[in-house]
Amino acid sequence: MTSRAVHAVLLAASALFLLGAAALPDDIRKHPECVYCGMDRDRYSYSRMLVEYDDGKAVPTCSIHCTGIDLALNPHKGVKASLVGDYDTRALLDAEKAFWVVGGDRKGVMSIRGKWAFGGRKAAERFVKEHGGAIATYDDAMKAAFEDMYEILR
Amino acid sequence: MRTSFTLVIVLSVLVAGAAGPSTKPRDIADHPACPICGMDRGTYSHSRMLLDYREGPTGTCSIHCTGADLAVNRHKHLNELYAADYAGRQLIPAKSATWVIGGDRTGVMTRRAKWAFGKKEDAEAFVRQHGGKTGTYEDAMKATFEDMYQDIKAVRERSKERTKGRAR
Repeated sequence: MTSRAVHAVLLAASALFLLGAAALPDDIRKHPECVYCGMDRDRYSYSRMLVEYDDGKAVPTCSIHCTGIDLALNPHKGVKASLVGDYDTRALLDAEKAFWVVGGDRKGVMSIRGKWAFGGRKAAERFVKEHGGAIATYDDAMKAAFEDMYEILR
Repeated sequence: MRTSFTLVIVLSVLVAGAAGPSTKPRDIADHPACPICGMDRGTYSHSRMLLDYREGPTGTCSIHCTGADLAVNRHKHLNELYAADYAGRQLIPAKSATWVIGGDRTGVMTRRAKWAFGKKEDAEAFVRQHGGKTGTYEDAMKATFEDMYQDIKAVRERSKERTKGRAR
């Protein structure tokens, strides 16, 4: 391979890398790993969460399981916003307003029982039709996350 | 001679002071505050717990904060888990204790109380007087995780109210 060809390949590889990085959602670029389990938040972009506390601190996690741990460790801190990755589009949603599905045949992240968030009811219903599970609120999903945490600890 | 005597007295006082008041259990002197919520383990000596990890012990105020600590430290090796005997305040092995879940006494970090008793008859006497249900450690920890999110939200609300009150 000539030196010109090598340069062209390197240039193309760099461009692809930069494009890939730019395509990452902002929160994943800023916080690539879950602060609790160290898992790659890009890989788990469909279950990732980001909690913003009143004191300005943001806590990035891979899943509602690790967010539950964070809430349990910081009971006195006020939560400004709880954001979660849309299972279909990967965009961050308000976790409190999202339509959650608890259960189904898709294996959960850090948990056997899946807990997935959707921006719209129809998308959640479509998932339930295809994969099972039950539509739930954020509170239901978080309660289930803690119940499953106990099962893991046993 | 007189100087030596004075020195002995001074040293005795210093040693006694360092050991702390004899009535305070050693684990409270070593771990005065819960690392999760910051609460005084002396004030909550009736619900406090001690997690004896191989990597080093942790003292909490309650089974609620113990649950949180266990969840975040799954990789640690737990040698033994202790809970305060509600009747006598001394530490007892939590897994063989008789627990009471519920009742009319306000729980620590939880709306549904969970208390440990070294003697089954003490637990039964508590239930007769205050209500609740006897159970195992597993029952109490399961209830702790069932209640966890509601309890966190309640603590958060109380903190918010306190902050508002201070700002007024």
